[in-house]
Amino acid sequence: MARFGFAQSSIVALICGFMPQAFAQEALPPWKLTLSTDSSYLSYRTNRAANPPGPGLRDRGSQFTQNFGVQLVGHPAQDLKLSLMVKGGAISSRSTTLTTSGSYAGLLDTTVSGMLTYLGIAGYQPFISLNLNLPTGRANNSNAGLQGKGDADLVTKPTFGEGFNIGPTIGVNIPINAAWMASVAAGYTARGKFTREADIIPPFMFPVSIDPGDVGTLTSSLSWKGDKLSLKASLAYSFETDTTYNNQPFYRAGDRIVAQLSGGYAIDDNWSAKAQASYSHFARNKVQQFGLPPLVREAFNSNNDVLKLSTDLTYARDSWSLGPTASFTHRARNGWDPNTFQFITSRNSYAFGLTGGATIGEMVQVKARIERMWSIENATADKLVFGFPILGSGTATARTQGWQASASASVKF
Amino acid sequence: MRYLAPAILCLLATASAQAQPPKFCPEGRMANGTCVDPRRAEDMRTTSIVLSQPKISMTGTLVLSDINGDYAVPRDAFEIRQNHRAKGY
Repeated sequence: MARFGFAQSSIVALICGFMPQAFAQEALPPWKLTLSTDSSYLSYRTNRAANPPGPGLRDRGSQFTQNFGVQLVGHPAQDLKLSLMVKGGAISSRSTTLTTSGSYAGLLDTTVSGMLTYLGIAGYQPFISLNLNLPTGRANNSNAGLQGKGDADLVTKPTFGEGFNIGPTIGVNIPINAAWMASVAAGYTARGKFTREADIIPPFMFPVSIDPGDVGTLTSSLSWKGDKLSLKASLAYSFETDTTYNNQPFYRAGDRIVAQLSGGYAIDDNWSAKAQASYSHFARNKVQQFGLPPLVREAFNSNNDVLKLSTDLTYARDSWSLGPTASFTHRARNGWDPNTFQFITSRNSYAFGLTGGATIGEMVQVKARIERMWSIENATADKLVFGFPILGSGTATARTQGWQASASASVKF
Repeated sequence: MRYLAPAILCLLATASAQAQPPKFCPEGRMANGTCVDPRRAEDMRTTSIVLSQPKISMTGTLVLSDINGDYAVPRDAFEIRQNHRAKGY
């Protein structure tokens, strides 16, 4: 009898022993598949006064891009999160100046990204990521395609393709407490060789082999979140290896610092605002001396610092949102003397517009944005050769006006 | 009486399981055991990955298009000029 009682007690204890496990073993959430597409159109017209005075120059250009992306996110196990993404697109780009005109229509490069996060350590979530650039676009264009490239400061795609790039990243998220979170990471981008257009226009079209320098980057971010305000600061430091031109050392980009600060504020149940500032600075490059290797540190900095400020104010109600958006970009002049051919002047760009979005059902989200943009590029002085000015070698102030519009849709399953 | 001891144990074990932090947190846990805010964790990780790969692609990005603007990194104008013969500089 006592033996029977012990058995019954054991069964009850055994069942109870599994009960905590039953409470603890939550089912993993289902995998999420997101299909995304976006269309964007940009059109601009630049008027540049003539130097010396005379009829001015007028450039214009446009780009239409269509992108597609697929992302799969899920938990293959309790302590693992996996994210996979493939994204590609196509472009139609046109550009016309006083003397040249051209266009390109075709695919862009495809990016592939995989990311795995380990969730099993309280207080630390390490992750690894492998990213690829597949050369489905075109780096070596005909002369028409070359001329179809738009103003790189204005267009979203200054070029249409490059080589096969592989970029692993390793990092860790550190949630310090409910308010503070940090993240640090190290990445390396091994960039493949590609062939691009010749430096000399037809009939001497001998394509050039470019092997861009690999890039190593260290980055850290810190964020803070209160009831209504959230802030995030990030810093990235990059260094590069040599870029080669037809297998000869061509240049080595200076070390780079990118600093970003962003914030969001929930004003009330309907209104919210967000702002972002980013700043990029390169140290002096190593370049060829008199057009030949080896590379030496350049006398003055050929790079332009770039500062970008942007802000959105959003009114959201039920399933839709709408609000104004504004941005300002300052490209600083580079470090060369204005009288040298290496001098690049400063440029200020402004954009104002409207942005909005809507959620349709639980699966579909659409967003749209339209902006008017203006840009002013400062004049440069005539260049000096052995102390003598070359008349007309400087440039006059250039004023640009344009429109950009985009629409995106994503469906989540 | 003979069921009392296992029943109490059962009750304690169940209560203990319910008092514990949730076993599954989609973005892991903080050091004190509470779940990490999933949106913030995703945002911080994405920021780190995008900033650590500033030149992975000239034409594409590592995030879906609807959040491109939140993770934009300024381009290298010198490289665009030298490697791609782009206009505007």
